[in-house]
Amino acid sequence: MLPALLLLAVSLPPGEVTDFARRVAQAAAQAREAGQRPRVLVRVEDRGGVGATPQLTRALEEALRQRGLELAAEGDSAVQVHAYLSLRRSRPLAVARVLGEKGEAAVLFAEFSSSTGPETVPSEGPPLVIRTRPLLAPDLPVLDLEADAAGNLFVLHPDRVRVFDLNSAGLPMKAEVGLDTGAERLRDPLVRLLARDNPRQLELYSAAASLTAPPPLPVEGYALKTFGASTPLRLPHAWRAVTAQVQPVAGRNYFRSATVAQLYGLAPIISPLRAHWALLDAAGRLLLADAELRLITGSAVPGPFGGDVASAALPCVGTVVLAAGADPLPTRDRITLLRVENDRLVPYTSLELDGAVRRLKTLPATGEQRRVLAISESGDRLPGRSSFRIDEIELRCSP
Amino acid sequence: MKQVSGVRFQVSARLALLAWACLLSCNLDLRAAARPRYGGTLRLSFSQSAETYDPALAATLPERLVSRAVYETLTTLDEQGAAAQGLAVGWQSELGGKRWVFQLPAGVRFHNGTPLTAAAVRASLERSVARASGPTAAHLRRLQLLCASPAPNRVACDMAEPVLALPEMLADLTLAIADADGSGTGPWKLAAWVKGTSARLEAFDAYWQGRPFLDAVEAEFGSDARRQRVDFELKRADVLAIAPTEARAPGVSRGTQPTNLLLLAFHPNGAFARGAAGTAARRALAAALDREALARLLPPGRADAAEAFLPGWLSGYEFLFARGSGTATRPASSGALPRSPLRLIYDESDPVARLIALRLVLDLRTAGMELRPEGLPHAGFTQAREAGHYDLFLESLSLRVESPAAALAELFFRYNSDKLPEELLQAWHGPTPAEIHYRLELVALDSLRALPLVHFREQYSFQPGLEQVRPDENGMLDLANAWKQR
Repeated sequence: MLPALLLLAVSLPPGEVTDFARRVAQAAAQAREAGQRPRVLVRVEDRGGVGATPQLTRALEEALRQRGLELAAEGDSAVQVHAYLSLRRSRPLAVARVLGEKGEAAVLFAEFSSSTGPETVPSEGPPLVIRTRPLLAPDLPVLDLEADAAGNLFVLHPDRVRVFDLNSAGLPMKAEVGLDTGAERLRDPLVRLLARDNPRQLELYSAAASLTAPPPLPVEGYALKTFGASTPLRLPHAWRAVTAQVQPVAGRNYFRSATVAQLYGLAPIISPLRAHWALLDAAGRLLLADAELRLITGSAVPGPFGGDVASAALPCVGTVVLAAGADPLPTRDRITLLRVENDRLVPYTSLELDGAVRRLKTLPATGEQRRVLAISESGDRLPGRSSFRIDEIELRCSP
Repeated sequence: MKQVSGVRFQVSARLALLAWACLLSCNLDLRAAARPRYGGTLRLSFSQSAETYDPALAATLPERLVSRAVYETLTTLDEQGAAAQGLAVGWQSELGGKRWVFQLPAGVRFHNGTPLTAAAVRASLERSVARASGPTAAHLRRLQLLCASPAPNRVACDMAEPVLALPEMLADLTLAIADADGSGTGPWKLAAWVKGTSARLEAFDAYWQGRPFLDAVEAEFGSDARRQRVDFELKRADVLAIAPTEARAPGVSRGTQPTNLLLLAFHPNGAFARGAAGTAARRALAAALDREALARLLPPGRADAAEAFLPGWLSGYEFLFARGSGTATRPASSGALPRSPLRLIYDESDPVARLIALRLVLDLRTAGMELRPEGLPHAGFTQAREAGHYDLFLESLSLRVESPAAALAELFFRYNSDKLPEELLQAWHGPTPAEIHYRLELVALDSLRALPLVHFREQYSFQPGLEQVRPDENGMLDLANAWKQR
């Protein structure tokens, strides 16, 4: 059974519509000849599928009434207002032609800043262990995230890192430091942040060939270190005493390791057998690998996956692997949740996020819940034409 | 920094499982995983010919596509038609708009390895302003644009009069930046060029905004429909740009917004020239045309009646000019049409003009006007048009749909005179109210030596497994961000 969807009407910015309606009403009043009855016929047509005809009609009628003009039926008016809704380069446009007895009296235009799109609200379903919520909508592209046990959330942008307080309501920003990530020299920037405790430093690994030195000042007690593509990245396993060594490939958007030529993401897992890691390969497959990052035969799930992979450990299901990939709808991505059973990945459930998921990052565990952050990009990939969002995916065993 | 309110909602497990089952079993055209892959060659096949990749001359779709891949302009235009970053990362006006200073980024190189410097930009602009055709170069010549390089990363341009729209004007492809040897700075290097036949582009590893994902792009030009279909079926072509008159589009097919215009142009000294009689004749001719019927001659969904010069998706107001809507319907008498037979020429290699010409002749005969249609080979058509050996001609134009102002400027330049209306020059600057473009369109419809007939789309066919190669509003493919699944 598909859930019922509540479709809310599309609306234009109310203030802008009212302003346009007032201008039209003024023109209609001026088009009326002296001695004519103050009756105006209003006709509104939607020529662009804007879907705000009732809103514009109401605004026009209200504005005309405020001017002391009466609404009239066909053939009973001195003045006619023919209003149209249209799209101009995908932006809503309203045009009104005011016709008096002597013909066209005025043509007025209004271009609206944006429309509020249709919203869908999923119906209530059975209680689930997965909840998502929007966390941040930064004004800059987001390349990576890192968090520490103290509640610092490091958000990496192309030219700076910002630190937010995860433990405070409203997620206040604590600090911001400018640094070179090399992102502007990369088409699909591969940059990773890693907070280490010993020594206490925030490390930035980039696929750019070289980076300028970071500022010497510490950020929330972390010394900043940056590494270009020639430096291997040692990723600690969250639950085992092993590390995976991968290296960003210069000028590309993938890592390589001694055993895998191209990998796009890596996440630790717990398994009683060989599997230590889940990884995304160049063919868009999700695979399991052992402690040395050697692929485990027969573990591949075809996907296509590719955004990123993360993992979380929950007492009721063991390791949950989250892998981002495509959704049949082109405007969003799907995050598939998989369990690990006998060195095999078993699809469990999935959820959808608007936009393309660029990165998944597991936060340090707190209490019974596990939290994974997703960086999503919406819109075109062109500079200034895409927007980034950080969503939180909360995982919890149902009581 | 905008923070989103923490609204929580629950995900339906049943819906999620249903979707997952569908993901595994349904034969859906899934969008590929989010992470682009590097490598591979994209093979394009165009129905149209490409005689040049010179940005100053590029006109057809494949010509502009290759030119835009190889060359970059100092600025670009955003969705609202305002100047956005191109090769220049910043600019400011001085002396009330008589001087503009452009800031260049570090680390940009031409394909020949030479760094991009202010001196190179200055020299490139001087060359292109001196020789490029089109309204922008002509206007800048009149303004005596003179650039200097006061610092290695700063270009200062002076003009005789203030021009607030200079950053927007420099987004014109005809003013793209090239080194003295013709090298560009774009994401693609031209590795091979066979005029009218084929081109090979290779990824520029040192491109300042990141190397393209693909290794190479190979393009074939002037392919007929049968060959395109065979190449597509045998997977020798990944993308087809098919002729607007071709009904069949194999594979996943996608049309652009109408970016092309077929128009009927008049001789500058003929029966439709300026003056009261010319205006009356133009109006009578416009009234005699059945544009809907002309558009229906093309395959369904490929063309719309052009009630105005700018298509509706670009202007937002084209419907105001539709017959019977009031605005554009002016008194017209078929008696104003010339009675002596008129010579109508068209380019035989233009499939839309070829298709429409005969119907046009029939329509106008009904209205009492006799046309003698004459299809000419491409070179002969160009020659006859330049020599003025015609009364009317049919022409397909790729509109400059980056902005309504740029498109109108091109039309005023081509079909009126090389002097642009003052209001248009003002409207060129930044996001301009639709009202101004509407007024300019009224002027254009009443005064240009041309009438719009049909707006038509580009139509592409794609093999499966191609990502981010969708055409933009201008009909251009985003080759730098395109990638192929393995």
